[in-house]
Amino acid sequence: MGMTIAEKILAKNSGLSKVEPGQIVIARIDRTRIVDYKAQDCYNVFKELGIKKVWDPKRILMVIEHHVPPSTQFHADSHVIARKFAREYGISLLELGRHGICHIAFIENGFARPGELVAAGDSHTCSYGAFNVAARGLGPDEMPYVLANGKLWFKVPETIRFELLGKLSPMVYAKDIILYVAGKFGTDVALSKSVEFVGETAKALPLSGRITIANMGIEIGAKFAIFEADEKTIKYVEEHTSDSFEPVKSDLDAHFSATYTVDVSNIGPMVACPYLVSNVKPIEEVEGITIQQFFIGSCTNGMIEDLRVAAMILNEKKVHPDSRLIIIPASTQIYLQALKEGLIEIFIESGAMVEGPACGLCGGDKGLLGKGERGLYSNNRNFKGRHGRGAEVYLASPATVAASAIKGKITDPRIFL
Amino acid sequence: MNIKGRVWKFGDEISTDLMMPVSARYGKVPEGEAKFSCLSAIRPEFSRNVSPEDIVICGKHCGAGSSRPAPRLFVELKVGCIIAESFSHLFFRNAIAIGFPAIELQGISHEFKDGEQAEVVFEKGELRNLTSGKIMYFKPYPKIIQELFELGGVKALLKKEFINN
Repeated sequence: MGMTIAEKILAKNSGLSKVEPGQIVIARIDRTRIVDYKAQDCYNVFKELGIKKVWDPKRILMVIEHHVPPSTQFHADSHVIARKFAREYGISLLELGRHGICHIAFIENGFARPGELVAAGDSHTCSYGAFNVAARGLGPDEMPYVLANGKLWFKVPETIRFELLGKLSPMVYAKDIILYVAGKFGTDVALSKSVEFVGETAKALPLSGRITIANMGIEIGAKFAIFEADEKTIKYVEEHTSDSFEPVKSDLDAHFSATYTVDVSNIGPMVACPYLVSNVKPIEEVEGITIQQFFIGSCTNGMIEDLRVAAMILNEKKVHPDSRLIIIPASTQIYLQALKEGLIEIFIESGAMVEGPACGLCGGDKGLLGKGERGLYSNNRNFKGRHGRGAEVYLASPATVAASAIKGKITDPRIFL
Repeated sequence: MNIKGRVWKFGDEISTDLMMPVSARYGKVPEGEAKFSCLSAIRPEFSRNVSPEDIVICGKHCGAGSSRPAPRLFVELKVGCIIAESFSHLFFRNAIAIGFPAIELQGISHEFKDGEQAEVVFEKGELRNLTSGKIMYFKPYPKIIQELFELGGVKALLKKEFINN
């Protein structure tokens, strides 16, 4: 029997010719990344154990990005240690102003390469699956081990497939697909599994749309969320790295523990209601709910394509007087591009507030909602308490958020067609 | 190793945002007090009333969401172990990484009521409901995880490997 993408990558990196779901392997990590405030945990362990070098500085990226510029003494101090760690151990550091949300920065800097295995701090590390990478998040207690040894234990996951078919309707985006999937199949449909998104629609999606879907793989429980590499992937990666790479595809006779077919032509704009990503309703069922704060940004939907859609809707319109819209480009490069294209001007003219690249409202320590307030956000989580105690967050695509910001309530973006 | 204590029962989809809220991270509360934020949004009395060796039982997709090291707070609260219908793979790794026992056992939510007494006998893979008398069995960890667990976690493993080299 053949192997799936995850099985092939784990087999290759474990030096085995074949692996099977359930098997535990020790696999070589191709690349990893450290996030600002989490670096101090690693640094402290390295110092305590007297570890004088990281396994391979070229394969590690550090980004100052999660909570920037720092608003707590904790973060400011942790950034001092992060910079020291990078300097002492020869790790590339993306400093403020040259940074991006770690996942987008990782991609922009050519670290997401087809066929590779990535394990790194932060749950949305699965985003790199958009580039045919088997990528999983880790907590801070495992990162020192990865940084020192460049290897880790993995339980080979079962693989499931979502076959995406049909053409998306206008004003319907990748975000609506993944919200639909979470709503229909649940947040544990892919629990601890590798998910492959395949089919004509997966192929038709822009890379940014694939990032949105892979990013939210963790929200349906996935260990890996992987797309096949195609000409778009290869062109992008070749433009961002000169190293060779080898895309991986599942064998025709590989075993999938489930295959689900989703016809996206039947999907409209979707909204995830509080407090679960799977509490998803078609927009018609939630239209009219009053919202105080709107957010377009995050590693899920803060890319240039997302900002273009938002600007198209907000152009020559105003954010509702009783509402506020906060827009945060996901990286400095995206910010600059949006500026060149005149998008930032459109946002500010519309009455939106534009912030510099960071996790922003998604991180849960900035832009908190007050008691009794509601938010409509383009990010990935709407958990209880995450964005303010006593508040509610709804999740939707940047198009739905932009359209709703104009009306001050949840609004079907198709009225702006 | 045996653990015996009161059962604290929670539902499905208990996120790490609930277990380790941002409002008590990043030095926002004095060191040693962050543990009292654990699950406080849904059950304010839990962190103050939990006793050493008490057992937390959750439903599906326990530890959903963020990669933050939520198991550290359970360790600080001296919780004996966490048992769930299923875990987020991130939460599970984070627990094993610091030697905190996380046990997956399907059907567990139907076998215990909040406040009942439970005992876990790790060597036998046995979970006893001391109130109802029912005994359940769970699978032992795979060898690599068991060894990691016995060492006390991934830092101890790193230390061992580093010193041996």
